[in-house]
Amino acid sequence: MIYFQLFYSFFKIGLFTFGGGYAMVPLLEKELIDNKKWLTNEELLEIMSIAQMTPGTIAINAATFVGYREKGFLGGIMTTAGVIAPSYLVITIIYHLFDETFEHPIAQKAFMGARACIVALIGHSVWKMFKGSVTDKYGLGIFLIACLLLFVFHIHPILLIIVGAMLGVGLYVALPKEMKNLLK
Amino acid sequence: MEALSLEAIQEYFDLFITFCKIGFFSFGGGLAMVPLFVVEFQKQGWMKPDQFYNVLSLAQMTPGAIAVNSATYVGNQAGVSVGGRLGAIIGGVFSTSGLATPSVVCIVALSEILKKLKQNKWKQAFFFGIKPVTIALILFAGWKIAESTFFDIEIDKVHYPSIVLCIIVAVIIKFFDKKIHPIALIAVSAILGIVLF
Repeated sequence: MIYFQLFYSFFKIGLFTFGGGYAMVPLLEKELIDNKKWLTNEELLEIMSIAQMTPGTIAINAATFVGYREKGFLGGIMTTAGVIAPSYLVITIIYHLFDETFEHPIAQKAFMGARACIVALIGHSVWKMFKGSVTDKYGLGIFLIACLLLFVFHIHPILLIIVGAMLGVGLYVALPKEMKNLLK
Repeated sequence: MEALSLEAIQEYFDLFITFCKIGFFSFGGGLAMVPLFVVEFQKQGWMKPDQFYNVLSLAQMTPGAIAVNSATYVGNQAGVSVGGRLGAIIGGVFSTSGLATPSVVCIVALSEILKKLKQNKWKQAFFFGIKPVTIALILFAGWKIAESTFFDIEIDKVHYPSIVLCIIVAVIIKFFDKKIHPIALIAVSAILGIVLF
């Protein structure tokens, strides 16, 4: 019942993702790397990279990628349906029971608590990814440039991705021998 | 049946196509889609911008991707006018699957290309540059969530209880990372939020 497992894993991830596509990284790590062993840390980072530069929502892109990789087209459909289903159910129920200014104080507080937790989870994921993937001075340099452009100059994510790709390819052109050992 | 009238079917089709378009032309995550959403909805007469901003704050508060949540809401809204409650439920299915369609098509195509380029050095150099950027973007997303959780911009106040909760969770993850599922931590934190905040 691999198809059901794909659906169920992504249903759980979708249901507990608060605050956009990147907030699902800690859940993806636990579910796909630790529990199901479908991916390695390095592959997850690659999938997130692909998900953010492909048209569409990051969460859906990442889900489709994992499902397609595991079980082909039908697998991709199952993970995509899984990650969408909680959104569809929750929003449809809210639509029919409340109006769009729905701001229940208890829901607000629960949401604040969940977000405080997600900040810590994302911080931990970033630290693990950083330790696992940024292992040389070139990678560190690109990371620091990216942080500077993002936090200080508020550059658009897509532009930043283009800058990163150019730096990677540029380094390979400039230092082919040295880079060959670093690429994998 | 009203929800399956010709007019209603036309509307579902419009929803699907419009959200396909939005999905295809949006890069870089949920909030990057907002301008596209606003323009398309006004054109279609589904929702005024100020109403959409309310929907957006609801979409950020509920589980799941922001764009998917907004799409479901707008699909319901557009469906209800042509087919009542059932029309709304069907409308949501069409808008949401419309949004997902470009993702599925592009990712499947890209997966096949990447499989062929597996050992290609240029592809590896490309990702060598992009991976640190991805980590920076995830860090930035975390910072944005922290900002909106820990600081109340409207009244210019720091919300200390949520900072304390975040630190406690960080310590727990540090020592029990392998044993605890993040879903359990999120659920417990949500309950603590209700009790303590």
